[in-house]
This record gives sequence, C-alpha cells and structure tokens, in this order.
Amino acid sequence: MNKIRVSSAINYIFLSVVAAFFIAPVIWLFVTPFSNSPSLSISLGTPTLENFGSVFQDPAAIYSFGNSVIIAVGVTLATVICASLAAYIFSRYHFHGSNFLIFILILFSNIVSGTAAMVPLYMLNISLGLINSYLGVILTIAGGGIPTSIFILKSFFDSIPKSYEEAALVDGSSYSQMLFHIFLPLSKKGIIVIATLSFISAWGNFLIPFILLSSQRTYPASVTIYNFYTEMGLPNIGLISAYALLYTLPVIIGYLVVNKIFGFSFYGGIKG
Amino acid sequence: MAWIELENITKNFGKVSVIKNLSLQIEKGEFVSILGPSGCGKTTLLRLIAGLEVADKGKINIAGTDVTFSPPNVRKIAMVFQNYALYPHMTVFKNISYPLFIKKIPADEIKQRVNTIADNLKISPLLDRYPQQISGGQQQRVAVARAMIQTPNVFLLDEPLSNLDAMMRIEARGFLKYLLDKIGTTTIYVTHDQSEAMALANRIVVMQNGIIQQVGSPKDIYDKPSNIFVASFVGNPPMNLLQATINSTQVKIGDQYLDIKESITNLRKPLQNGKVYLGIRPEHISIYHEDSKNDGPIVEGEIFVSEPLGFETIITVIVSDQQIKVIKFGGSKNLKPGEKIKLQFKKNKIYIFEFETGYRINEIQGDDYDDH
Repeated sequence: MNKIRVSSAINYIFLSVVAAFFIAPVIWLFVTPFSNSPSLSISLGTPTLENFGSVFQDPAAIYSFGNSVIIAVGVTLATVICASLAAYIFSRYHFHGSNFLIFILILFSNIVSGTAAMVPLYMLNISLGLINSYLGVILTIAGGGIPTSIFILKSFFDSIPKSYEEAALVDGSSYSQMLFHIFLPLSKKGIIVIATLSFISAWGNFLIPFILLSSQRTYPASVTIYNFYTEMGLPNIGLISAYALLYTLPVIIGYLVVNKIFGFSFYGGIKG
Repeated sequence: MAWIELENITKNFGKVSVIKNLSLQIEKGEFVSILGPSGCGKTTLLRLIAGLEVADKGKINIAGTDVTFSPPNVRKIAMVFQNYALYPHMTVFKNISYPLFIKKIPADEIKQRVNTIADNLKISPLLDRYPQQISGGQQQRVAVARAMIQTPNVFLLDEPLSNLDAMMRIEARGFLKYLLDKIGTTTIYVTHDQSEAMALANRIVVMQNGIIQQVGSPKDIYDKPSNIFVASFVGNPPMNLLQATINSTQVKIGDQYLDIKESITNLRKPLQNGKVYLGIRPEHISIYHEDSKNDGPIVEGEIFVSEPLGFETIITVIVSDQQIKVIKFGGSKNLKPGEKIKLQFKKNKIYIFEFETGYRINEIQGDDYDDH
C-alpha cells in the first residue's frame, strides 16, 4: 500500500514538473504584458496597460498586423481552393499511381517548407521576380501546406458517399450546381478545418517571410516582433510581451469560434 | 423505334467485363425488371442508362435521342438509389423539391407540387424533418417522392426495397406498384429478389455474368425458362434439377425409369449423348397414393426433412441420391424423415435441359399458370 502511495507521489511530482514546463510560458504570456516592470520572470508588479499603449504608438507594430492578415488570408485561400479541388479528384477518380503521387507530394512538401530548402526557394523566388512580395511568401507557405491539406481533405471526402453527387446529377443539376448545392455544403466541415489550420500556420510562420521579404514595411507580425529592441539594443520585453499577446489572440479566437460552431472532429460519414 | 434502346452495349471495369454486348429495347410505359444475382451487371446497366457510367461500346437511345455520351442531367431521368441518397443537409421538403429548384421553377409552384406528392405518399408530416430523423421506410418514400416530382422519360429504381426489413418490404412493394401503375411512366427496376420482379414487372430481364439470359413476361420466365440458370433463379423454392439420362421414350434418374414420352415429343434439338437435366418445380410434384389419378411419371424416394410453413409444407425427398423439394399444401401429418414416399411429376410441367449448355430443349405445352 505504502509502495503504491510513494510511486504515485513520484508520478505526481514528475508530472507537475512537466506541466509547469509547458504552462509557465503561457502564464508569462498573459501576465507580463500587464506588468509595470516586465522581465523574463513571471511577476505582475503593479498592473498597467502601458505596454499596450507603446504597441499602438509604434506604426511598424500596427501595419505588420495588416501584413500578417494579407499573408494568412492569401495562404488560406490558395490552400483551400487548390487542396479541395485536388482532393476531390484524388477521392473520386482513381488513376494509375494516384496514391503514389499523394505520398510523394507529402514527402516533398515537408522538405519544401522546411529549412533545408530555403536556399533553392530563395533562388526560385528571385528568378520568378517574387522576392520581397506578398505573393512570393503566400505561394511558398501554401506550397508547403497544400499536400498535407490534400491528404486530410481526401480522407474527409472519401467518407462522403458518392451517391449524393450522383443523385444530384440525376436530379438534373449540372456539375457546378452539384458542387455548390450538394458537395460543398456536405464537406464544409472539412474545408473549414483545413482553412483554420492553414490560416494559423501562415499566421505563425516566421522563417519564410523573414527570408523572402527584405523591407520592414512588408514584415508580418511574426517577423516584426523579432525587431523590438530598446535604444540600448536590449530586447524590449514590455513591448514584446504585449505584442505577443495581441499576436496570439486571433489564433485563439479562431480556434474557439471554429470549435464552437463545428467541433474539431474529422467525420463526414453522413448515413444515407 | 422503342422508347429506350440499348444497342450492343459493352462495359469493362479494368480487366473485368461487366456487360457483354448487350441489346435491349423497352417500350414506352413498360415496367421492366432487371433480375439477377449480385455481380451480374444489372446495377451497371441501370447506371449506364442513367449516364452515371459511360459505355465502352454501343449506343443508348432514350425517347428518340442518342444519349450515349450525354451527362445524367440532360437525360430527363429520375432515379431511386439503393441507399436513397437523400441529401443529409436538406429537410425532406428541400430534398423532394431539389429537382424543381434546379430547374428554377417558381417557389409557390414548387410548394404546391411538393405538398401534392407528399399527400399522395403520406409523408406530409415529415416535410420539416431531416433524413436522419425519419425511418427507413419513410426515407424510401421520400426518395420515391423526389423521383416522382419530375415528369421523367424513365424511372430508374436500384433495389429500392433492399434496405427495408421483411415486413416493410412487402408493404412498400405493393405501394410502389400501385403508385407506378397510376403514373404509368416507363420504369426500370433492378432487383436480385425474384419475388419482387415477379410481383411488379410487365417484363423481366434475367441477367447473369453481364449477359441477358432471358427476356419475357413474368409468366413466360416462370413457365418457360430458357435455361437452367433462369429455371433455378426464379421460383421459391427453386426448380428441382435432376441429373438424368434419356432416350426417346423414357428418362432414367439413378436406377429409376420414368415414362416421359409426352415431354420429349417436341424437342428443338436432337438428343446427343443422352445426358440431361430434368427440371420440375416443387409445386408440380404431388405425393402419389394408390387412389391418385395417373397424371404423370412416378418416382420413389425417402423423406429427408419436412418443413411446415403454416399454409404449405416443403418436403425434401431423396431420390437416387438427389434431393427433390416438394410443396405440399395442407397438413404435413405422416411425413416422417426416413419414410418411403412416391412422388408424381405433373407430365406437362417437366423440363428437359441440355447437360452441356444448360439450354432447355423441350417445348412446354399448355398455358395454364397455376392449376393445383
């Protein structure tokens, strides 16, 4: 009996340490922006909104939010449109080598969006004249995310019986009417999940805009936050923490809203 | 020109040949049932007519138009799917009205037509529900309503009763026949259930392995099966098929000789090596007593098992190592397994099938459908 108590006490201690490791940064994120003496330790001091005030006085902080929105929305649109069209074909038509093609795409997408391919991606963007443009950033981030999105959407579409589309065609709808009245409404859950995931991943992407964009004016929030220093050359922790909290909010709100409306679950098997 | 014409249709899925050079003509207003075991190509045939598959070879005409390569939406057809395929994100009302909505018919006309058809099919109280919220039988009616709201060239029904339980199925079958008779639209009904085909259709197309085995009225299919497959597929229990040898006057089953002169007078083909299948339906066999009138050849056997079903009893008898099923109406007293029994085959109901090809080679006389 004692042995069991001791071992479960050890378990709890171990798990508490692990939990603290993950929770501490989150607490820091929510406490430090409101502190009058922000530091790397978690201490509130006297609560103040001054840090947020300095964020809103910094023009770079404001327009880089706008840049983030442009990039994230662009990536989301490109991913959703390309991935859902491709996933539909992969799901509904089986051509020779289609499974192999998906496998290869996923394999290489992880390389493409990873650090290893940064030099060739940079060269590619230069030769396409897309360097220092949103389009270059959008296409590069989307290109990395689309294959995985195709894969997820394909399994989602696979679970929607084909007979709904066939019934729609027989009932007299054209292919585009079938798509808009039947197929998209049935698959909207999967598409919204993909849209949210790609929005969040583009919103948080640091490396690709950092490398492909060269003027401060075009930096998204993820890169701007990297440039907050005091005149002394030290990181301005008050500004960084306040900005980080603002930067996190859209993602948190996005998750909550989607979770409330749809719930994050991959199912589409609607019984006929 | 027939209303629906299929000309030399061939369809392969990869290396599997599903429909083999099939031709079929269907007249306006006919109720045709396509009957066959699973995998015989009957659903593929229906999908070819619907335009959901495209034939590899051949031509399809519907109402005088060549639609071989037309998409489903221009063929003016209506279809009831096996799983009904009711749109899960639409209410019953929206489901039924979808074909009209697509044609941009004014809202009040849609409403009026949906209400009429819902009244007819007794589903008016369900119009605001979603498909997942109604029973299988109700879903089937909604699927039929969605098909009937249009005035199509042809109704296509793909095993519409197979998802219902046995009790519902009989009820839905009768209702479906009543409805389709009333509208009179050309109908093609795919089923693997011979009783559905017999009960509903004016004409039955029996298929096996992508080939039409026989086309005819239910009565023809039942009384004059053209081969062993049709004979054994239609009827419940199916026709008894006994291996036998034959000469010009008698047939030999095991070591018993049967006098079947009358059944082999009108042979279409000369007898070859004498090996044949002798076919006789369970309801055309009676138990022979000393005082029975002499109505056909008699065989002796031993009762294997008897299964009383209430109104009738199915008796399985072993005759020279082959099983024969017999339907006896009325009581089943004195039918104990192991007992010896004499069976009499009705003489004008004996079928002779060629052993090698399975084709029937004797002409069947008489037109009486059922005369026990």
